[in-house]
Amino acid sequence: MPLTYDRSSSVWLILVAVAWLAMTPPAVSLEPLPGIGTGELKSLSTSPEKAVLRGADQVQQVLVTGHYANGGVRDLTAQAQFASADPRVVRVEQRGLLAAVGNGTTEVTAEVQGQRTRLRVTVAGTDREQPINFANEIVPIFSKLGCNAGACHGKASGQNGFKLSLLGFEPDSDYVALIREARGRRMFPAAPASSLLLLKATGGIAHGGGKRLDPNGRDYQLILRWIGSGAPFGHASDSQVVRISVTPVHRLLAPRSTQQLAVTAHYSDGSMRDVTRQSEYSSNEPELVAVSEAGLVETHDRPGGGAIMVRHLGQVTVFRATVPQNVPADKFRAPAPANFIDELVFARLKQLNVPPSVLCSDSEFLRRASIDITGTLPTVAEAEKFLADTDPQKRAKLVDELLARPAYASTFALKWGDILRNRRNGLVGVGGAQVRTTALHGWIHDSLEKNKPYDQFVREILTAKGDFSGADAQPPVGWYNVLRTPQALVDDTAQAFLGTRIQCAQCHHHPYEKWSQDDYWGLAAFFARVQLVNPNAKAPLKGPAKADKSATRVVLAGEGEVTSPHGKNYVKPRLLDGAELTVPVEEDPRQKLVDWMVQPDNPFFARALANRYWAHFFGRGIVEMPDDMRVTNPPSNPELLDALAKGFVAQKFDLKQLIRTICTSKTYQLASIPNEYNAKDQQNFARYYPKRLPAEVLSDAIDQVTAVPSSFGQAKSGPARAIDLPDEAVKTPLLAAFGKPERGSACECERSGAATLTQSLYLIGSADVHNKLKNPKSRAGLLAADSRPVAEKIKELYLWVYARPPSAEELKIAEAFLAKPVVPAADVPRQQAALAKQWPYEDLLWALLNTKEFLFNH
Amino acid sequence: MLDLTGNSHSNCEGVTRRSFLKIGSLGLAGLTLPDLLRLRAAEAAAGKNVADTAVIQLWCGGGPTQIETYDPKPDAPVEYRGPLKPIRTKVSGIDICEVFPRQAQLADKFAIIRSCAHKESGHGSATKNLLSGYPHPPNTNEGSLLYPSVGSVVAKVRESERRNLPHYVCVPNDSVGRGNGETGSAYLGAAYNPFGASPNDGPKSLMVPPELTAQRLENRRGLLTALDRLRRDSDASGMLDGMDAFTRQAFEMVSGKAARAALDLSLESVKVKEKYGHGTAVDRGYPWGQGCLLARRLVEAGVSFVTVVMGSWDDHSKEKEAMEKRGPVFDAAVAALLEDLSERGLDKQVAVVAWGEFGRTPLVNKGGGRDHWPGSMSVLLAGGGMKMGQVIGSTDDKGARPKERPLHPNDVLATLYKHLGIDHTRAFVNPAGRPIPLLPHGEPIAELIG
Repeated sequence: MPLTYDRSSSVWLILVAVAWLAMTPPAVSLEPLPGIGTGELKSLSTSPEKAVLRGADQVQQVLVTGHYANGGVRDLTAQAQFASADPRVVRVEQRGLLAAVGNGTTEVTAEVQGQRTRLRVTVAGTDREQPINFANEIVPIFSKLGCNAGACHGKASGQNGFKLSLLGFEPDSDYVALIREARGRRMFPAAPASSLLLLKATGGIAHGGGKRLDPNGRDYQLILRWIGSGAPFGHASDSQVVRISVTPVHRLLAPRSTQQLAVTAHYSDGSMRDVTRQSEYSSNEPELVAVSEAGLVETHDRPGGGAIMVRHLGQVTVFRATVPQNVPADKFRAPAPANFIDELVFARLKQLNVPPSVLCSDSEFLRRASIDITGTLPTVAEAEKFLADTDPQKRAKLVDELLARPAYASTFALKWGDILRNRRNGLVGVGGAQVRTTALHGWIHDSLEKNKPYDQFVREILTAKGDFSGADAQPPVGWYNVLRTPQALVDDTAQAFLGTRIQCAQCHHHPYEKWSQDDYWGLAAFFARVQLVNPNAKAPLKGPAKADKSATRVVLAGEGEVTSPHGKNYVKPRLLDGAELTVPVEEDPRQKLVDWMVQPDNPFFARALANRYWAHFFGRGIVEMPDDMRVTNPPSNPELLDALAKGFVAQKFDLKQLIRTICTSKTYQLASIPNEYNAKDQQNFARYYPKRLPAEVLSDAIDQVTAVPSSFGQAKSGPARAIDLPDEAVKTPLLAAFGKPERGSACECERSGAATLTQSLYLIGSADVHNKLKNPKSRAGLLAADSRPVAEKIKELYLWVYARPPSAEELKIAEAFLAKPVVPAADVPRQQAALAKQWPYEDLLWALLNTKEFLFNH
Repeated sequence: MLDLTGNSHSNCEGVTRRSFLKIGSLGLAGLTLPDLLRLRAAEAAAGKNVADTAVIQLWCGGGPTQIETYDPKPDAPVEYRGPLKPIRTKVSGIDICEVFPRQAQLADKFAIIRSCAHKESGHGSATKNLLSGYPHPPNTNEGSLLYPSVGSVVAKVRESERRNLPHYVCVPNDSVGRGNGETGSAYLGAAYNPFGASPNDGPKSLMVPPELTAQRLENRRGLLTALDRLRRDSDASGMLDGMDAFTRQAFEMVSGKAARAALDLSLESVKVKEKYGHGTAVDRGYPWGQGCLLARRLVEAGVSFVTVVMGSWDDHSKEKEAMEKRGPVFDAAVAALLEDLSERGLDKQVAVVAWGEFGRTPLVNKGGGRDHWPGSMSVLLAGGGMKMGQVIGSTDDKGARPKERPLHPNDVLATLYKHLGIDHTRAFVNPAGRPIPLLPHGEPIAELIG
C-alpha cells in the first residue's frame, strides 16, 4: 500500500509499507499541510477575504497569511499593520479585530514588510438596537471571565451565595439566579451601572474574585446595555449555537512563532458570527504550544504536536499545531522500517525534522523486552546465550519466547488487576475479599496465558453473573463486587475499555467533550438490572444491596432503572453513539453493550486498547493520558493509532500479536540515548523513553540480583514473586515506596513512576536492602566465596544487573575497589568482622543497584 | 500526570490568575520560573515569607471531649457538666477545664474555637474527613482514604523546594494508627506519604543499619558516582535528574548532620525535655511531650507539616479518670510547645492546631463516659501570626450545638492552608481527570487572620 507524507517543503515521498506478519495496515498518509514559509515574503492574503458586520456589537477577527518564496506560509496577523479607509465605518482593534462603527462599506488594509492586501468590509444595522440574547451573548462572558468555573460560582454550592451553572451549561438557571435571587440587587435596570453584578465584577465593591471586568471594555458595555434594556432572556425562537469552527484547523508552525486563531459560531438559523474573543482556549501541551485568552497561539522550541481546545457555549473544537524543528533535512536518518509502525513513526519524525536515535544494543533489547513483556530481568545464562546468538532474527524470536512464558501473563495480569481494581479493601468491606481477589487474579492470568481474544475477555467481565467462588464460579463477578453501583460501572467501563473519562457527565455536561447527562445515564441503564444479592439469604434483599457486605452474587433483575442527580429516570439503555435500545427482559442488556463495543468500526474499543498497550511499552500513549481519549486531546500520531487499532481488529483482538507487532518494530528497538537533534522529543517516540522499573518488577529484580528472595505475607503458599501478588493488600516497604497502586480507580496513572526521597532512602540505607546484601547466601556472599578471577566475577555481576558485560573502565574501577583491603573497625563485633571479606562485594552490588541503569528500563 | 492547575479561571482569589502551575507527575519538573515568580509575588502580597511557614498538628485521635477540655459548662445540670471543674485563665473571660492548668497560664498564646461541628460520628470516616477535608462513606471505621490528607497536599505543593528533610512528617510513625492511610496521599501518589519519625528512635528513624558507618556510606557513594553511567539526557522528562537530586538529598539525610540533628532529642537540654514531659502512660508507648519537642525541632529544620498523633481520647466510660491521667501529659506538652515556639520567635512562622475527629455527647453516659458527638467540638489554634487570646464561637448551654458563629472543620483547614500560603480553591486533577479543589468548601476564619 502506498504511504505518502509531506516533507514540509511540498516534496512528496512515496514509501511502500511492508506487509508484515500478516498484519497489513490500512492505507494511511499523514495529513498534507502547507509548509512553513521561508525566504522572501511574496504576498499576503486575509481570511476572511471580505467581512460583513451586522450590528454595533459585532466584531470580526481577520487573519493575515504571508506567502513566501519557498511556497510556504506563515501567520502574520500579529505583525501586520492595519488601516481602515473609513474609521466611521469600521475600526481595527489589536491584532486584526474589526469592530463595527457605522453603516457603510469600506476597505481595510493590512501591511507587512512592504506587502499589502486589502479586504472589503461592509457594516450594516448599527442604527438599530439589536436585541441581546442572554444565553448566546451574556453567558459566554461569564465563561470567559471564569465566573462560572468549578472553583468559583460554578461549583455545586456556588460562591458567597451566588451560584451559576458550571461553565454556563444551564442558562435558564443562571438567568433565575441573576434576576430573582438576592432580592433583585444583582441587576438594576433603572441604573444599570449600579447593578451588583457589574459593581462586583469590576471590583467597584469588594469581590472575592477580584476585578474581572474592565469598565471600558466591550464585555462591560454589552452587559450594561443588556441590563439597561431590561435584561431580556431572549425568545424561544432565537437561534442557538449548534457548533463552532476554528480557522485554521491544523498548521505547521515554526518554533517560536505565532498563529492567531479565528472562531466562528454557527447558529440554528444558519447564521454565523465571529466569537474569537468570546471563546476560551487551552493547550493540551503547554510546554510545546501556548495560547492567550484572545486566541493567539505561540510555539516554543520543542518539536511535536499540540492541540488547542476552543470552547464556546458548551461547544468545543480543536486547532492542531505541528511544530517541526529547524534541522537540515539531510540530517534525517532512520533505520529501515520493520513494519507499519516504523513507517508511520518515521514519517511523523520526518515531518518534524526529528531524526530517531540509532538502534539499541542486544543487551539493551534483551533487558528492555524482558522487563516490558515478562516483568523480569534476564538471567546470566539468558544474557550470555542471547548475546552470543548470531541469528539475525534473534530479537523477534526472543519476543516470541518471552510471550510464551508464564511471567508474561503475570506481568499483564498485574496490569489488568490495576485496571479492574482487583482490591481487597473496597469501599465496603465485602466478605471473602481475599478469595475474591485471588479468583479474579487467577482468571485474568489464565485468560492472558491462553491468549483469550480481548473482545471475549471483556465480554466475560462485563456480562459476569453468579458467584466468584464455589461450583460454577465466575471470577469476573469480582469486578462487580468492587464497583457495586451503576455509576462506578459506567465510569470504569468507559475508562477501562473505551479509553474515555465520562465521569463528569454524571452530574453535568462534560466540559471538554460532547457527553451529556443523557449519554452518561443512558450508559448507566445498561447496568440498571444488575443486582448484588446475598447468596445465603432466604428472602431477597430489601434496600440498597451495596451496603450489605454479604451481597456478593450478581443477578439480573427483571427490571430496573437508574436516576440521575437531577431526578430523571432512565430505563432504556443508550449507547455512546446515541442509539437507544429496547432490551427484552429475557436478554441481558450488557451483552448488547459488548456487542456494540466489539464492532470493528467502534471508535473507542480497539483504539483504547492499542493506545494502552502502546503506553505500556513506550512509557507514553499515542494519546496521553492513555485513558483520556477525546477530540480535545488528540493523538500525537493519529495515523499510527488508527493503524494499530485496525490491525488489532483485523487480528481478531489478539493481544500477543499486538505485542509482537510493537516489540519487533524498529521504533521499539531505538536506543534511549538521544542524538544531536532528538533530546527534546517527548511525544513522537524518536527514542526509547527510559522508565523506572515498576514497584513489583523492581522488588523481583532486587531479589534476583541479590539471590535473596523476599517473602510476601505470612502464608507459605503465597506467591514468591511480587508480580504475582493478586491484589493491593500485601505491601512491603519497597512496594509502598515505589508506588504499587491502591487500585482505588481504573486509571493506570495511579501507579506512580515518580522518583521520591523515600525511594532513595530505601535504596541507600534501608535494613531490607542491607540484610539482603549481607546475607552470606547473597550474591555478594557467593561471589566473595567464589575462587574465580575477580574480573570474571565482576562480569557475572554486570550480566545479572544490566545484561551486559562491564566496559574496560568499569572493570578497572570495580577491580580496584574490590582489591582494597577491608579492615573492620575495632568496635565491630567479631561475628560481623568475620563476614568482612564479603563487604567489598556488598558495596559493589549496592552501588550497581543504586545506578539509574539498574533502576530504569532504558 | 497530576497537575496543580491554576489556569485562568480556577483561582477564586484572583491573585494568580492565568498561572499554570504545573507540578510534573515526576515530582521534579516543578514549577516553571514564571509560575514560581508569580506564586512568590502572591505570597509577598500575603505579607509573609510563605516558604518558611509550617504547621504542627496535634491529632487527638478518638475524639476529645469538648466539655473537659476547652468548653466547660459549669452551669449545666450535673449529668451534662460532668465532675471536672473549669479554671480561669490568663485571659479574663476564657475558662478551660481544670486538667489544663499550664495552658491556662498561656491563654494569650492560643485561640479556642468552640463552635466547630460536622455530621460524621464514625471514627474512621470522621478522621478521614477531617484530615482530608472531603466526605468519605459515612459511619464506618473501614475504607481507605479517598482524598489526599492536608500534609500530603502540602508536600505536593512544596515538592520543588528541597530541604534536608521531607516536607511531611508524622510522629511517632507514619499513621494515626487506624490503618487505612488516613495520613496518606491517596491519588497524589506514594511520594507524598508522610515520613514517620519517633522521639524514641532519634536518628534511627532514618532507618540506616548501624553497620553502615559514615565511612562505608562515603565509600559506597564514591563508587556509585564512578559507576553511574546512564546519560541523564536520555530522559527529557527530568526524571533521571530528579532521582539524582533525591539520592543526594537522601545521602545528606543519612550521612549529613542536619537531618540526624533534627531527629536527635539528646541535643536538647534536660530542662527543656523535662518541660515537655516524659509521660508515656497514655498511648502507643511514646511520650507525647517528646513528640511535640521533636515536632518543634523538625519545623525548625524546615519540615512543612508535622502531625503528632496523641490519641486516644475515646472515653466511652470513666472519662474523669482518663482525663485526670491524660490531662497533665497533654497539658505539659502543649504548654511547652507554645512557650517554646514563642520564645524562639517561631510563633508567626509555625501554626499549631490541636483537635480530634469529633467531640463527645453532652450527656454523661451510665459508665461515666461520653460517646461520639460531631455536633460540637473544640479546636485549639496557636501561632501562625494569628490573633491569639480569644474564643471563637460558642455552644448552647449543654455544649451540644454551636450557638454563635458555627464553623466546620474545613474552615480550620482553610485557615491552615491560608497560613501556609496555599490557595485552597486550587485543584489537583484526580485519576479520573476531574479537578478536585484542595477543599470542597470552607473559608479561612476571619477572626484569626483578619
